[in-house]
This record gives sequence, C-alpha cells and structure tokens, in this order.
Amino acid sequence: MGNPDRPELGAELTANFCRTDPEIARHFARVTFFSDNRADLPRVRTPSLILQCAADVIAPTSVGEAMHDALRGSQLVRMRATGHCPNLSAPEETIAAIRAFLSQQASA
Amino acid sequence: MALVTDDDGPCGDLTALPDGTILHLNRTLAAWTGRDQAAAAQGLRLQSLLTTPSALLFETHCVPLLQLQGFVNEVSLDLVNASGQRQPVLLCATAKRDEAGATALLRLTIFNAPKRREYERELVAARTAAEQATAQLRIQRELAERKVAEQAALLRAVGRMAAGDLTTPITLEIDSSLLPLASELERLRRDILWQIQALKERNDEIHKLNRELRYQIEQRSLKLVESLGARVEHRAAQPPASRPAGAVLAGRYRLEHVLGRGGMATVYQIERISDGRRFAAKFLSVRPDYQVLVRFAREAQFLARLAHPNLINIIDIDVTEDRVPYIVMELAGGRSLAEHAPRYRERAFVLPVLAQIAAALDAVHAAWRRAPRSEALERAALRRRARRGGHREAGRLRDLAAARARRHARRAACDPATAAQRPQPYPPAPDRSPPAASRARRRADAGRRPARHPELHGA
Repeated sequence: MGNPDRPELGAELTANFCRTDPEIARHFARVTFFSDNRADLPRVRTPSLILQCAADVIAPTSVGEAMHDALRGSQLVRMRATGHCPNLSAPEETIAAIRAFLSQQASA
Repeated sequence: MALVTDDDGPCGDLTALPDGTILHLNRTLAAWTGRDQAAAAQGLRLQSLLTTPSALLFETHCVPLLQLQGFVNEVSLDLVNASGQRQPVLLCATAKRDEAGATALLRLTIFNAPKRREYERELVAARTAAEQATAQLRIQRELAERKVAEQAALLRAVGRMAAGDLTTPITLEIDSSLLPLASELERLRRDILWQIQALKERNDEIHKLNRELRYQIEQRSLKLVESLGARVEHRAAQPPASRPAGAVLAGRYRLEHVLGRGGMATVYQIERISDGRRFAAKFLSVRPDYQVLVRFAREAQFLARLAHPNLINIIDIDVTEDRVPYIVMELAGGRSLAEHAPRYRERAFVLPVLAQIAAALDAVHAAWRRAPRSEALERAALRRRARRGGHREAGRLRDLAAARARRHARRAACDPATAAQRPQPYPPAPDRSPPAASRARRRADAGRRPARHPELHGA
C-alpha cells in the first residue's frame, strides 16, 4: 500500500476487493460463461500476449493454444504459475512476461 | 483407549501447496471423497476433489482472497467423490506465509453441511417466491393502473364526442381489454361523422339547387315582364273576380280555395299536382297596366332573392291562360299576428316575435343592398316615365319587407326607377349566396329558433 502509516486504508481496500456482491457476481458469471467471442479473434489486429498458466481449471492449456492460433501474430507464454490468477499467485513471473513482451513490441 | 487425533475427526482437514497440490488429507476427507489417503497425497490437486463449478469458485474467489487477506471463511462448495456423488460442504482456509511474505502452504478445514445447504436452498426458494410474488403484485398493480388510465382515456373520448368533437379518433393500446368497447365507439364516431358529412353534402346540394331555382324564377320574372309589357296595354283584360276551385294551371297546379284578398291581388290555396303539396298562389286581381306588371314581376324577382327562415319562399311565377300573372309561394299555417293582440303586452311573447321580425327585415334589407341592377326593369320603367312626362312615384322598397312581415296589411309601392337613383353602386355581378356571416347566423339560429310565428310568414 502507498500509505504504510495508515494501515486502515489498506485494510479497507482489501475488504472492498474481498466483498462479493451476489448481483454483480451473477452478472459477471453470466457475461463470462455465456459469451463466445471465438469468431471475433481472427479480426483482432492488436499485438497480443497470451499468458497460459499451468493447471488452470478454467482455461486449460488447450485454450491458450487455440487463442494463439486464432490471434494473428500473438505470442504464447506458458507460465510456471498455476491456477487462474497469476497476477495474484505469481506476480513476479507475470510482470516479467509482460515487460518482455512490451519491450519487444517497443523495439519492433 | 486410542490416542485422540484429528485424523478421523468430524471435519475434513487438508494441507496443500499454494497451487493446490495436496500434501496431506485426513481420513475423514479421504472417506468423504472416496480417495485413498496415501495415493491422494501423491501429486493430486485439491481442485480435483471439487465439482467443476466449485473448482472454478475456488480458483477465482478463494485463491485470490487467500493471496490477498490470507484466509477465507464459510465458502459453500461441493465435494465430489470418484463415483460422481456430491457432498455439500463449508470451507475455511488459511494461507501460511514464509518469511518473505509469500504463500507457502494452504490449510483447509472442511465441514459437512448438507442440512445447512438444504436450509439455504429453502431460504433462497422462499426469497425467490417472495420476490416473484412482489413482482406479480407489481405487474397486477400496473395492469390495474393501466386499466384505470384506459377507462379514463375512454371516458375522455366519450366526453369529446359528447362535446361535438367527432374528428379525433378513439384509440387504445392494441392489447387493451377495453379495445372492443373502444372499437365500437370508434365505429360509432366514424359512422356519425360519415352521416354528418353526407348530410352536409346533401344540404349543400339542396342549397345549390335552391339558389339555381331562385335564379331561374328571377330570370323568368324578367322575361315575363318584358314579354308582357310590350303588349299589355292594349290586350290586358280585367282578371276574373274569382277562379273556380279545381281549375288547373298550366297542368301543374290545381286551385282549391281563396285564402285572402288584397287591393291588387287574390291569394288562393293551390295543390301541386305532381306531389300533392299545398302552396299559396297570388293572382293579380286588377287590370294590369304596365306599372302594376312591373311591380308584380319586381316583387317576384325580389322574393326570389330572399332566403330566410322567417320569410316566405317563392316557388314559381307564371301566367295564366288568360294572361294574368301569378306567384306561387310557400303556404304557411297558423294565425295572424293580429289575432294575438291580447298578448302584445307579454314580454315573453313579444320579444321573440320582434326578434324574428327584425331578423326577417334584416334579411330583406341585406338582399336589397345586394340586389343587382335590374336593367330590363329599369329600362322599361325609364321608358314608361319618359312617356308619362317624368312621373315620379315614391317608391320605398323597405315597405315591401314590412308589408310581407305584416301579411300584406299594407302594400308597398316599389318603383325600380327610384331605387336605381340610390347613390351607392350595386355590385355588378349577381352573387346570390347570402354572406357568410348571415349564413352562419342562420345555421346557428336553426337549432334554437322558436317556432315560426305565423304572422311572419303568412301567405
């Protein structure tokens, strides 16, 4: 947190993140699990980086590979991190992969 | 007595690496999930003990929270055993961190919770039912409000129709329960509107025909006096004092009886043979000299211009076989104003009568102001005057109207020559339609006019 002298701010923010509004959760789940945008992927022109975690029950390796095939000029990085939230479970590895991709894009 | 351990305690216990790889699970949990306790601890991930939805929830909800705050409490999940059977549980978990603050171990305690799940489902069902009931109520209230609004709209529409507005269509929502009623009203409205339209058109047609008829009578009066005038002086005979009942005039009218006698004319009731309608026919009863003829024709010509509810309409003008001119007019029933003399002091009686007399006079004056120059009559009169050496007769056409209103009590002298000396120019083109204002007034009067007073239109 940016205010180490005021720990209550950090606690409040954490509580905010951890709170789950059932209505929002339901809406999020509906949008996430009922959307299918695979047909849109070939139209994407933006340079893309796919971070594929190991043992992700939501997006297994086959998903990352299919994305990589469909997104023209995309890069696929297979991470050591497991689960679905590498930004939380393996922030260093996630940041390193993003930085590498961005610097490569900048020099290209 | 065996040593008490938590390995077969009443709740499941599991230790795993941060990615879910199981390090240890107790016997209770192994039994619940149908796994071999030793085999399970060989690279099995705890996510595989959960149903797919529960695994998703664990990954997306529990893992980030464990990362962020180091614990989760009372997360409702479903275990699944090897044969696919589910078991509702509650999960409490904590994250053990190393010295650097990174998550090193996950410690999970799992409670069997089928009754609680059932209770929660019942609660959810009850809440859903309550919400649906509320929604139903809201829908019903909205329906009721809509119905009230539609009824109000319909009432307003009926009010509009009652107030005479027949042009605004009556509309309701297509799915309204009042639609049949509204459609019926709308049909009624269109029907009435159509009938009014048809009546108006017919009325217009009749007005046109009447105007045309008057014009023809006027023209005929002119022709009559022109054709008679040249020969009258040496051929005219004294008309008969009385005409026999049943005598037929020009094959069109049958004489019935005398209605009245005046100084210059006798009025008979006649029947039109074609339709049996009764009229009044006024025959000249003096030997017609030129002046009398002109006056008579002029009267017919002027009567043809008058169209007013309080004035008698002229129907026809013709000449008998013995060359006596006659005018056919509407036959009015009722009694003479003179017979009402005892009521002359009754305001309620006199005022409406006076108003009608005034309206009739007004119409007469208006017609006179509009009257086009009757050149043939003027020429004839001028010739006549020249022959008589400047004879001048005080002609006041206004008296004609008064005379009519007073049922021939006094006959006015009408000298077109005098009239022609009036300073204001007459409109050159004959516009026989009464001005719009008086038309409108007549229409307005038509609805609430008191019964015609006989005196105002006596034959």
